[in-house]
Amino acid sequence: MKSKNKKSIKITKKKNEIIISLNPDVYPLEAVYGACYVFIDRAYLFLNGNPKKEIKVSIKGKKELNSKELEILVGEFKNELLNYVLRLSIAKNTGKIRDTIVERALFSALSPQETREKGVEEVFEEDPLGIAVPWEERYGEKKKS
Amino acid sequence: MTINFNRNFYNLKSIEKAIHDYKGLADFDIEVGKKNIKVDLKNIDPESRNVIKEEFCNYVLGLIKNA
Repeated sequence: MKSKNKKSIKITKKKNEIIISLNPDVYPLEAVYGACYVFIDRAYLFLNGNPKKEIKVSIKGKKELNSKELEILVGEFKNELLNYVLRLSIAKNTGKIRDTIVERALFSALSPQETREKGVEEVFEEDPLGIAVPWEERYGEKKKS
Repeated sequence: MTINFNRNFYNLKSIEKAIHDYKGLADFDIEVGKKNIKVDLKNIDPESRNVIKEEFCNYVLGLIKNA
């Protein structure tokens, strides 16, 4: 029977190397890639395992590190992982509104000619609600009568 | 010296690009399996012998992130 209390992080220590096993439900692969990339200049990293069940990240010091230094390095790596998880979560939650803002910004940057070429003006001219009636048309006749 | 890249994490394109960039430091042989991509390094430049494996893996990882 499968254990429901699956640990999100498991750590295996070796000489100058630590292998972290991550739960992909908590730490998506994209976040793992991001955190690894940040640490590329400080450590040697290698990925293994199964991206759907358990992601194994091997972190090896570029220079000989003692146990304490290695633990600090791994701690910082875990912080970076959390940072990436949060980033991904924010990107996911605000993706639609971000696209809308960019779309509007780009739209307002169009010149009148480009707007005409793209047929945007024609969309305004369609007036599906019938509210674009000129003042003269609506009130001009009344004044005369 | 052999490196086994898990295909779930590493793609062939990045590995081939890395081999191309590292070809001056060793002779590379590549064997693509169902689960792994096996890279064999021979005639390694003596100065980089101690670090080439780890540096190569980091390089591939960097290429994947930037792909």
